[in-house]
Amino acid sequence: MHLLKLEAPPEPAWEPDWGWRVIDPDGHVVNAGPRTLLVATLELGEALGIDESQVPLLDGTRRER
Amino acid sequence: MAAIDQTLVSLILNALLPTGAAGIPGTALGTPMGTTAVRIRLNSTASTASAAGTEIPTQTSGYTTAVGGGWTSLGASTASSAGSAVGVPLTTQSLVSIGGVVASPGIVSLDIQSNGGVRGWFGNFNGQPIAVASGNTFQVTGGSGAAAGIQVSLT
Repeated sequence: MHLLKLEAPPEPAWEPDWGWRVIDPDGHVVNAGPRTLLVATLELGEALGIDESQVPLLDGTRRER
Repeated sequence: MAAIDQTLVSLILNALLPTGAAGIPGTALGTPMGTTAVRIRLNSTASTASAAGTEIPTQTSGYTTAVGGGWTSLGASTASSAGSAVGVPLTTQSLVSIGGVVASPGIVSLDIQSNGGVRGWFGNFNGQPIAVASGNTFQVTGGSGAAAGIQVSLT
């Protein structure tokens, strides 16, 4: 007995603004979303309990809060 | 106003993300993320600064839990330069859903961690929760720099 080999459908193309997507077994995109942004901010003075508005910058000015 | 020089921003990003050969972290600041390939952990709840979310279970294919599991072959990200973001992954990552929590509530967050499980970065997926029904495939696009599906920056 010969069984037909079922080949997986070709993957659809990515849209430029997608960061992720969900594809069903037939190769259809059922959901997609934009890129995920992980943004960390270093506030070293704040972490150390320093009032950075009181610390003069190299140009003589003080940081605005 | 950023409080850190852009060169230092890049040093930190490159040391904590898979910018070295084969996805191994850079070594500019020592090796806080280990010396083997970085991996991505997927969670069905949100991660916080103190703890990772609840990791999704092993899937039909493409994702295995436990240390050394998750998405492991991320590829070498383009290194940060002049404070630019690092894009992760270089290589598109995929899993085929087994259903369960991946179908509902869905995939919520991710952690970028060392191969041994030390967390470096975390965040919710844009558009979470992402429901992936049993048999469906979830993918995060790979690419160089800004083309990658996850963009990590430090200001």
